[in-house]
This record gives sequence, C-alpha cells and structure tokens, in this order.
Amino acid sequence: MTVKECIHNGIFYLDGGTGSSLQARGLQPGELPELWNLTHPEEIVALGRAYFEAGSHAICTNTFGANGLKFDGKEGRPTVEEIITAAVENAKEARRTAQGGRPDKFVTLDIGPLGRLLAPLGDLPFEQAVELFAQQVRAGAAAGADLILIETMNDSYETKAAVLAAKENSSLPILVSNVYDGDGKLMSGANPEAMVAMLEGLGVDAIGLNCSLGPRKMLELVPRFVNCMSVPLLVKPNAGLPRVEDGRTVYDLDAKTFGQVMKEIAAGGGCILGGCCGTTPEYIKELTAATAGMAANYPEAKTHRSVVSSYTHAVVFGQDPVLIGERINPTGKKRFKEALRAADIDYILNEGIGQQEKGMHVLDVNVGLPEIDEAEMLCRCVAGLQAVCDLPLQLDSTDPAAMEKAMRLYNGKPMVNSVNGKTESMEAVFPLVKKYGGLVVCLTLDENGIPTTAEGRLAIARRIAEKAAEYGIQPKDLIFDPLALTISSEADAALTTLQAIPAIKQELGACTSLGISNISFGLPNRDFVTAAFFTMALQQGLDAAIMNPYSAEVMKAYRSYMALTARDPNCQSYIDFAQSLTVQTAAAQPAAQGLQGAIIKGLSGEAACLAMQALQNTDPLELINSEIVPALDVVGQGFEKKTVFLPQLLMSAEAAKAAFEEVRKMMPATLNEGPAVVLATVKGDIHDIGKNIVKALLQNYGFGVIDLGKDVAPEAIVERVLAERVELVGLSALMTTTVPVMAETIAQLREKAPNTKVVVGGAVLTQEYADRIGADKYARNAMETVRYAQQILG
Amino acid sequence: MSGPVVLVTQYGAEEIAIEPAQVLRYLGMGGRQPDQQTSRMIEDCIGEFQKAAAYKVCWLTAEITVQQDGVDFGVFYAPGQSIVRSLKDCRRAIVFAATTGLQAEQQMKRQWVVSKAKAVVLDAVGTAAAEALCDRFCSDRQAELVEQRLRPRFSPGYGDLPLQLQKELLNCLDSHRKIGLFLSEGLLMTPQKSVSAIMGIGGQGCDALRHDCQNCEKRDCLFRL
Repeated sequence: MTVKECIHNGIFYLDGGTGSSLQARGLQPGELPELWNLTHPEEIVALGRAYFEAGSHAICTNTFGANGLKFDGKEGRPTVEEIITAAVENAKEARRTAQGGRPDKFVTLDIGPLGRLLAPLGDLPFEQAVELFAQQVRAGAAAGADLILIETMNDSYETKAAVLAAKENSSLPILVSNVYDGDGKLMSGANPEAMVAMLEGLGVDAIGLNCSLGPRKMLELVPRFVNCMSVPLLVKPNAGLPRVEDGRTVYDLDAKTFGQVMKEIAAGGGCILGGCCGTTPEYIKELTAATAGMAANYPEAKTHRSVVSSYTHAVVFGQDPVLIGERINPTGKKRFKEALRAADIDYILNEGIGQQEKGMHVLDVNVGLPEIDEAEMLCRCVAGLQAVCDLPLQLDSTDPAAMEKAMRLYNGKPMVNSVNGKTESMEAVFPLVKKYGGLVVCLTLDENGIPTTAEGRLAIARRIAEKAAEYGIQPKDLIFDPLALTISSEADAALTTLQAIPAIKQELGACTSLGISNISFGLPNRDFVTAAFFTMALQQGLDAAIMNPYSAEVMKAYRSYMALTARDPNCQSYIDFAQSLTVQTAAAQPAAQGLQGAIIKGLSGEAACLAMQALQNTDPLELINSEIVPALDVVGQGFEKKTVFLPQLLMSAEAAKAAFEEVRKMMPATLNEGPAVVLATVKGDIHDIGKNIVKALLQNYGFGVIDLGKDVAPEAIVERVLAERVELVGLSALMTTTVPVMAETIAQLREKAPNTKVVVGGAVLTQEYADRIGADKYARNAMETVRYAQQILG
Repeated sequence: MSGPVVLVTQYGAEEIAIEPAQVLRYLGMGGRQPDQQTSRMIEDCIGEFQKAAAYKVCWLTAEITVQQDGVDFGVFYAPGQSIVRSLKDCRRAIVFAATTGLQAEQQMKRQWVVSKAKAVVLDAVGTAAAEALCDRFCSDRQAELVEQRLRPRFSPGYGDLPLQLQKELLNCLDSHRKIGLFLSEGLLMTPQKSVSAIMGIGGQGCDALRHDCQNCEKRDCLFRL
C-alpha cells in the first residue's frame, strides 16, 4: 500500500517521543539531538526499530530542529543535508531490521519550528522561512522519505511557510500538527477552525495537534476539529503533564492509561495516532493494543462549509450574513489615493481598524492605482493589516501577479476578489486558488458582458463552477456575485439580481455575495435605496455583502434583519446598536472652547468638527497659522518646561492631525508638505516607539517624513537620502549593541551625502555617545528634534 | 536524565498587579501628579493590557561554579566580573525568562495606528507589567526557600555581562517553545515586554527583590521615583 492508501485504510499509527527518549539514552542537556544521527546512529536506529516493533506504521526522522539556522556547515557544524540524509538512512535501517510490526512501514521526514518568529511580529522574513524549510524538504525527499510531518508549530504563519515549502519541493503526503494551549489556541492566537480552514485550503493530507497537552485535554478539543474538517485528524499527545521528581522530568500518565484515553480519542475521530514528549515504544504498544480492531472514524467531508480565515479565527459563510467592509479602496476617494501615492500605510491601517470597530467580519483590500506598484503595495498593506487587525481579508486585484504575491504572503485562507466567466480570468485565478487556498468571488459576467436576465447570470455561474471543478476546486470555495447594477439606468436591475441569488444557490449549492452600494448609483439619498435592497437580498438568501460600514442606513437594515430573523438573542445587538446611535447624536455638539482649546486639550473629534466649521469662512492656510500651529506651540513649550507630559503632547498632536485632515479636504491639490526628513531605527534594532513619536510631531509641524521603519541597513538609508535629496536624517537606537551600526550609518552618510545633517536619539544615547559617533545633534526628546529641524530646514 | 529541568509557571491577570505609579515612572513622569485625562488613560490601558496579557515564565535551577572571570552554569558559561559579583558565594542560581505574551504585543502595535498617545501609555503599562510579573515570580521562588535568599535579578546586557548570552540563556530554557519568547537576529526579545535574567540563591545577602530608587546614586535618572 502507498502511504496515502494506508492513511485511508484504518487507524494510522505514528511513533512516540524522540527527544525525551534520547535523553533517556544519554543525550545531555544542551546537546543537539539531531547530531546523534551522525554520532550515535545505533541509538537512533534502535529507537526507530522499537517504535516499528511496537506497531507504528510510520516513524519520524530525528530531524526536528535540522534547519539551516542551526546546521549551516560552518565551523565544523554539519549541513542540513548531512543531518537529514543520515537521519533518513537511520530510519530506513530501523525499518530493515525491525522484527514484525506492520506489513507497511514508512519513514516520515520530521520538520519542527525554526525557533525564530516571522515578520511582521518577529524579524524572519516569510520567504526566508519558506526557503529554510525547502532545504529540509529537498534533502528529505532526496534521501527517500515517504511522507512529511510538520509538527509542534505554534504559529500559523510559520506553519504556512513550511507547508508551501513541502508542496513546492516534493510530492510527498503532508501531515500538519500544531501546538494548542488548554483554551484551544496557538501561541500566535489561531484556533482549530482557523488552522483547518487554512491547511485544507493549502491541500494538506491530515491536520491535528501534538505536544503541550496530555491526551485528556486533547480529547476535549477533538470535536472542534471533527466538526469543521474533512481530512483525517492527527493526535499526538504528551504522556500527560510533566513534573519534576528528584531533578528528573516525569509525566503523570502511565502507558496503560495513555492507551485507554487514546482509545476514546480514536472513537471521537482521531485517525492518525501517536505520542509526543514522555511517550516511549511502550506507550505506542499500549496505544495499538487498546485500539486494535477499531475502525478509523474519519470525519465527514464538509462539502458545504464555505470558510475564510485570519491568523486567529475563521469566518463561515452560509449561516449568518457576512459583512465585508469596502473602504480600503481608492475608487472615488481623493484622500485615499493621496495616502497610496505617499505610501502612508498608517492611513490605510486606520481604515481597517475603523471598519472592524463598526462590526465588519471581513475587509476588502484594493490598492490598485495606475501609478503605483500594486503587487508591492498590496503585500505591504496585507502584512500591515495582519499586524494590527485580526479580520480575514478579501484580496481585491485584477492583476494576477499582485494577487499571487498577496495570497502567498497572507496568513490564513483569504477571500479572493475576483474571477469571472472569461476564460482568461479563470485560467489566471483558479490555479492560484488551487495552490494557496481561498474562497473566490465569482462575478457572473463573461466575454459578452453582463446578461440582463437571472437565467443568463446563472448560466455563467454554472460554467464557472464547471471550470473550477476541472482544477479540483469545489463549489464550497466559490461564492457567486450576481452583480447589482444601478436601478437609475435599468428599472428591473434589482429584480434580476434578486432572482439570480436563489437560482444560483439552489442549483450550484454555493454561497452568494453582492457589492450592494452600486444599486443606488446616481440617486439622491442613496443609502435609503441601498439599505432596502440589502434587506431584500438578505431575504432572498444573500450570504455576504461588500458594503460601506459607515452607512448608518445599511447598518440599521442589517441589525434589524438580524433581530427579525431570530439571529440576535434577546435583540441585544440591536439594542446596543440603537442606543449607540442615540449617544452619537447627543455627542455631536462640540463644547465651546475654540479650535485652539480643542487641540491643547487633545480632543480629536472636536478639533476636526471645529476646523470643519471654521473652514466655511476661513482660508485653510490662515487657519493653520492662526489656530493650529499656535495651539501646538503652547503644548510643545509646555512639554519642554515639563508641565505637559508625553501622552498629552501626543493627544494634542492627534487633535492637530484631525484638524489638518479637514484642512486637507479644502486644499486644491495635495497639501504642500515642507522639506522632508528621513527617519529610521538602525539595523539590528526593532524598537520604533521613539522614532514614531518623533514622526508624529514632525508631521504636525509640517515636515514631510520619509519613515524607513525599523531594522534599516545603513545602505538603505543612504540610498533614500540621495534619491530624495534629503537634508536631515533622524536615527534612533535603543540598544547599546546597535550604536556601532548608527556610527556606521553616519560614516556612510558623511561619505555619500556630506551636506546632510544627522540627528540621533534613543534610550541609550547621550551627548557623549552622539559626539563620539559624529552626529550633528543629540536630541533628548521628540520636541528637540522638531526644534532642530526648524533650525536646519526652517 | 540528569541536568536542570525547565519548568513553566503561568499567572492570571488577577495575580499580577500593575501599579499606576510604576506606569507613570516608565512614562518619565515618576513621582509627579498626572492630570485627570492621563490618569484615566493609564487606568484604561492597564485594563486593556490585562485582558490581552498571558503571563508566562520558564525557568530552571542550575548548579553553578563561580570562577574568577565568570560563572559556569553547566548549560552555559556567563563571562565577566558583574555576574561574578552578583553570584558571589552562591552554589545555585535560577535562570528564567518571563513574557507578557504575543497578544499584548499585537495590541500595542494596533494602538500605534489608532492613537499614539494611548500607545505610549500602553507601552509603559507593558513595561510595568513585565516588571510586576518578575516581582511576583521572584517572590514565589523566595517563598520556597527556607533559609536562603534570592539575589537581585541580573540580565544579559547589565554591566559587562554580554547581551550575546541571551542566545544561550533562552536556548537552554527552550523559551520559544515553552512560552513563545523569541530572539531576533539583533538579540532583542519578542514579545518586547519580556525579561530574561539570572538570580543567585545565596546564604545571606541583600534582600532586593525590587529595585529601590532610593538606593541608587544616579539622581538624574529619567525613571527615578
């Protein structure tokens, strides 16, 4: 039998612990277990043999940490290839020499975490992680492993990197196992539903959990997997909980009890079973004995579960209506286009967080503008959003290259917007969905345009579904958009769309989605019509809507629909929503204290409101000079005199920014920014709090800020300074270890851009340090940097 | 198996008290009276941080040999005079790493986008929380000792104890697997609100579980209370 056949032919047994078993065989603390493949092959073979003889179908190679970060071939260390080749050989030797056991025996390439956290939270770039795993996969496949187990992963993003590497570098079956805590979450926050969504999207062969918990605790989590998954469930628990006895780690479950609890797990849906830390061949023997004769309880295929996920949770379609926020999109938005051109990621991230607070379940992300590199910007926005907002994203692009990059980088299973009935579109999008996973929005239009009848749109939907099936994409991963055209140009536009919704759902068994705003295009008070249409569409069975979360009418329609269809227990969400509307109306009146007062007090909402009022009869520039700047000065001086503290200073800065945003709207072109300053936290340092404060204040005072971020190499800083002819650079460092990098950066600047001034700051810096590394100015705080910028550039 | 065993201790938010006075201190406002708005913001941020925090410590007790130029921990060697002074006369030491968790870190990142003023306060809350976690952990360890006292915690980067030691220290604690604490290439910890340290278990000695500003000579310190 092949491995795949064997996995689907009854309970499939893996092995037990490796690291803990090797410690029992004399592995010393601090010693790398993977080295034993080369130094103690007989011990590795003996352990593997014992597992085969205990009844394992497959044993893991001793390669948990055999990655290029540890084994780089330098200074006498072996290479990844040397370790993995030896490990696979050892496992094969165990298979050759095992007495009895299963007729079919397999060697599993074992891959554990890299030990570094991936960007954006950590500093290991995603593609570098993929390459590190790829190296392991290539070595394992070349040496003759039969399958791959990616295990003990506590971060969904790293898991995805490993799976991509496995898919791209071998055709071996892939089993994936994560570490959950007692609450059913990964260290990085993902729950089982999110992991299953992402991993089934990526097409792995089995999904499950190992390490950290004992079998009893895992048994509690089993139903959560079984209820959402279609592939077999893998369960590899520890031998209970560890405790220390006479300086030794012992586990609280004996082999017999372990076997008994594993029997319950098998009955509950565990199909691929083994053990982790503390389990030995004896445990596997008890496991196989306890479950002997039991049929594997495979999960039922979830053919109708349409789902997307973020790095924390899954969103299911086809139950409650799913709201997709449409605001991250430049179409018709001057301010948003400006932000895109200026690569003002914070502005875009704020749009994301704001929509989440309005109750959206998914965010559409469209950053296409002719003059920008869409692929690069889409990736930056996706990574940025996924660092601050845990909603699943709908990647929205017509550029297949941008779409592929974003799908690859996305942490979870994305929504893909969109494919249509044109052959060219389907041939571009479906291979991506097949490879990376995704729920793809299918627009019912083709080479001949948009059919005017519901039947015509259904016919296109049918063709799309057929084509998708050729790629192995099931209807559950398609969500059809029967297109809402404006009723102001076509009287029965809404009726056609409303008919198409149930027609598509019934025939194809797939979900539907609509961009609802378009229906009212060209009409006054559009929201009334949009909201009514939304209610009608929901009643027809619409599963998701791309919408404006700031439209009160549409939100009223949604909250009312939820209450009316018994989806809102005790109408509680409706009541909260309705009451929040009343409060907002009451709070809309600003207290009379003038714009200056609002900025000084740090009241952003009031400052914006007052600026808007003042702009009715005041020139924008006049308002800046007579109100905003004087208010900032009051606070700035207070900070310098230590009567105003940092949080207050920043609150005023935010209020001033809110007022500026109003001013911006009145300016004919983009608000001319003053001379630019480059800011960066130097290479090796990941702290950016101080740099961000400086940035906020400089912007307040009208300087253009080119923020290069953190961990920035000297060369990158020099390059930008030269490219933008910048006269002032601000460098930040928090650690003493990064001060030499700062010195190096200054040295390079002096050589290539001798006229550019350098101001430095950060927790470790002093005047003395600054002098020693040749900075022009040491700024103790953000205000000092502002004053210096005024002096140099003013 | 011989050699030290790594243990994991978790704390609930209710077990870790974040004091507003400490938050003020990390905001550079130590000992001064904040205005009402700032006070409320501090209270709010403490509440929000506590909701996101997951307090975890992984630690081991090592038999140590204090040598002339450094200290041998068996699992690693800590060079320098500072650590020799800190562990003088000790035969055992606790090595630990403590973190407030990745979700709290993400919350701070999110706050940067929404409000920088609040983010600054949240950052100070995070620092105060990490210190409070260490205080709690240390006092729990102290409580287990009958006649001996714990020395003040000492971290890589203090004095002449090289930051480079972070690698071996966190490695022997297996901190990324045990508590989700990672080291960057530049030797910085993620989550940022984390602490790694060594504490000698001595016969007698100073009972300095918490740093006391009054004992410190640096009177112009930004964080002086």
